[in-house]
Amino acid sequence: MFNKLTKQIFSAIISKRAFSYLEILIALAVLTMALFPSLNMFTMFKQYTLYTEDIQISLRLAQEKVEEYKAASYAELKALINAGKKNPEPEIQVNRQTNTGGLAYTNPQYNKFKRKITLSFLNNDQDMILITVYVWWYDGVFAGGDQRFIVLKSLVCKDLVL
Amino acid sequence: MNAREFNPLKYFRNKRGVTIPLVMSIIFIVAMLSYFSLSFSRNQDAKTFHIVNIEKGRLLAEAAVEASTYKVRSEMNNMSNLNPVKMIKDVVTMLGNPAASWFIKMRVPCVMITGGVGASTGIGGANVDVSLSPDTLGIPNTWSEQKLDAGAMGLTQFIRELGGDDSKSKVSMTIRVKDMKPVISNSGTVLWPGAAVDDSVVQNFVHTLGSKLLSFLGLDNIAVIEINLGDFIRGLSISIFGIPIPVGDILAGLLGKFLTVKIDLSGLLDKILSSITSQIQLGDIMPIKASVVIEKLATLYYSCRVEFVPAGTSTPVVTEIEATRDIKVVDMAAPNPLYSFYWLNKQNSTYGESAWGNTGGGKFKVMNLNIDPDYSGNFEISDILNFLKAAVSLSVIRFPGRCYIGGAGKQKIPTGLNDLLLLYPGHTPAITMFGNWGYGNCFLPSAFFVGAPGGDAIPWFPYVSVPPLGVIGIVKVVAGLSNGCGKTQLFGDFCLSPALDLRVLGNVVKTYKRVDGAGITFPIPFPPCIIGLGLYMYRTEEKGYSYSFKETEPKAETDGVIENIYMPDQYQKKASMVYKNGGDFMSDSTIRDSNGVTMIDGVIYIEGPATIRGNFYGAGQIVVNGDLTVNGDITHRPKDGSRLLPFSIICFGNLNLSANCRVLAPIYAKKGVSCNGNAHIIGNFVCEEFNPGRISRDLTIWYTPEITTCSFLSLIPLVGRYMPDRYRVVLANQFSTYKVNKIK
Repeated sequence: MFNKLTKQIFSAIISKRAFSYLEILIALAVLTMALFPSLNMFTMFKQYTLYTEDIQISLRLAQEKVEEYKAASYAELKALINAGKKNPEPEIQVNRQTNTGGLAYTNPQYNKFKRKITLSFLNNDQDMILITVYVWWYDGVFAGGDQRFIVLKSLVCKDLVL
Repeated sequence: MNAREFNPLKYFRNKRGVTIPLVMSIIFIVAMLSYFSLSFSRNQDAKTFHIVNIEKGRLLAEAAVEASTYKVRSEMNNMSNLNPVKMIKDVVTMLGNPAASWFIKMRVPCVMITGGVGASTGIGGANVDVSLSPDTLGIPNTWSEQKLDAGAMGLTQFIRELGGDDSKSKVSMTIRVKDMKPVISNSGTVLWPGAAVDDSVVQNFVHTLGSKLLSFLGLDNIAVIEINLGDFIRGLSISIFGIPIPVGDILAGLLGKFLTVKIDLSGLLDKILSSITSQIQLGDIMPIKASVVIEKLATLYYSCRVEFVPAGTSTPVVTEIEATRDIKVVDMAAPNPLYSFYWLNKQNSTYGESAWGNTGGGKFKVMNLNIDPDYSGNFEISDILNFLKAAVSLSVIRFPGRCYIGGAGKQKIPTGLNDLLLLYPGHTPAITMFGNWGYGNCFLPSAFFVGAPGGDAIPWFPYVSVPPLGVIGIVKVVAGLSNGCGKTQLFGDFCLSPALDLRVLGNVVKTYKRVDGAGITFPIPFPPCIIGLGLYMYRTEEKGYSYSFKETEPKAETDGVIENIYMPDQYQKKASMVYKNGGDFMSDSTIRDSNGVTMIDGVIYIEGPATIRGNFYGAGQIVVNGDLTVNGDITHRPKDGSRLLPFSIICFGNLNLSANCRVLAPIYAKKGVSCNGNAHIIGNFVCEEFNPGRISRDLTIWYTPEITTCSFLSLIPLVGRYMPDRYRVVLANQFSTYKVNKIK
């Protein structure tokens, strides 16, 4: 039944003049439909570029805190841990801070980033302090769970004078 | 079919199945586009993760450098249970093991190499290269490096924390000591000016360490020291409402034989030394035909390769880091650490009895034996008892310092109150007269009559058994307090050190007052006691040379030398911190914590005069190339657990103690000391020039062995300079170079 109908349609088409134009039009339509998703690629490219930029910014923001805490002495970091201040900077929006150079994060691109720093002893070894920096942001809808984050960790060992 | 007849439309129109390739083509295009999109998406994700993983790889490499630095730091000054003599004996074998401790690696004995043409010495007229090499000692050339992996550095957990696969990730760290240079002064001096190194130094070292060790200490003629504390304290009394109470006699009676302490010092030393020297065989030591140096400047080189494999993947992110840090192996031994007070006196300055006896108004006391456990600058009877209790348990670590006054002229130092004990018991008086001694407590006749002869009459309470009624001869009772002299007390308050048979070396003459006389005793009914009345007369005697409990007559000492003091520019070259003046040092907050405690690690060099006070933590030396004023306490924690922390003050000018203060450090002051506040030096004091007239307020030196040096063996002149524990390794806080070579 189906084959018969198909044959009739093709037969009708083939038997008609100017069918090739129609055929090309259909082909172009199908091709357009096929290419249509690829139009989304440009958006996707842009999204990935922005995402990569966010990753890069977040890395720099994390590195900044890693360096800041590494520059502190081991004794100061240990004192913070022993004083119960294991989260010296808990969940702070980046643009509400200034960096160690005293500069504020005034660029709007920083608005969506938050940072958190935790200090702990690596393997419960009091001579090795683990600095963990979390940077996260929302790329899209918060409720949709579009949270992105990076985590960097660094090590500070006991600065023995003797 | 010819060309004219060919019509493509007709051709296709007449053919079947053309739609199939068409649809297939479209599907292919769609599939390709989908694949491209998917691939692109995955690539972007991978690229994004790669960016993060590269960062993690770098952090892992940095952590490896940090952890390896920690390993070096934790070992480089930790002698642990290592026997220093065993180390010198077996250093070649030990360094053959790449896992040898960094304590050993940093103290490799080096040979001075000179030769070639260059100008690197900085020595005027010496146009040669000077470098250090341990190679000629036969040490394997791998001695200077150590290879560590993640496990050895304790980084396995850190790899997991970073989100890596610790079974696949690899960390390879190589640490190496290189570019060693001696610390040469501009005048060409390598060691301190007093140190002489010749070809046979190691052999001498071994030999000396054996049979002649005691002679270096000056303790070779000591057999057994017996201290009868009962006799010692029998004279002690306290006065209540003017009535002397003989607490010494009471204690002696109560404690009896427990107060007799026998210290076999030679035996103690013998036991220590025999356990050490028995390990030495001359054949173990390689002959060395050059100058041996341990102090040096060098570079610590790091080379780290990290292959960080994120969990769930197998592709490593490779990072390579190279870095260098400066190392300084610095001699921290105190100047002349065996001595409590050392005055070189190359100028041959001589002072008379009045100058020494009156000083500048303040008391100059040398406590050759500090038994005050709290470094408070004071001690009490309980400290004496505790010290002796420790002595019989063999746990005593403090021993008396020696005293040296150089120069060819005689220093006439009045004996002062000390000689009451100093001459005891060689001049035991028939009746002890404690409690009633001296001019200050006597009333007849010289106290009332100006120009009266040196004779007195006093009442006294005889504390020893005397006839209730009779005549007692008073002979050889010594009290050198004539005319208020006696402000110089080279044996401190209670003369503990003379009891241990130590003496002042040098040209010191002691003059003292001997008392001859007679007295009568008679009982009184109430309160029931015996009282005596005596008449006596002072006689002045002079004893010399030396200033000794047993009145030995040593030869004049003129060949003194101050050890362990380098040239100022050597200190500058090996300094961790250099300040252009004292103000800059005192205002530098970067080396102080929030409590103002100064962290010291190595040499702090200050050019020009400085005024210093404060608390210090760490190991090091403060070197002032100028006058030093101390206007407050300088304290230092001398121990960290069981480890002694060396800390000393080197001053190439005059030391001015301008306020009441306590200095917990051995001090070298080239131009002597002036004291304008009551001051306590807890450690020792070494100088080239000295003038008692500049002691305007009380100055007390408390010789404290654990503060003057690092270990017993390092105290020994000549031998001590090769002791490994007198050298401290200082690692620079900052990297000299740091570069990331490769990331992929």
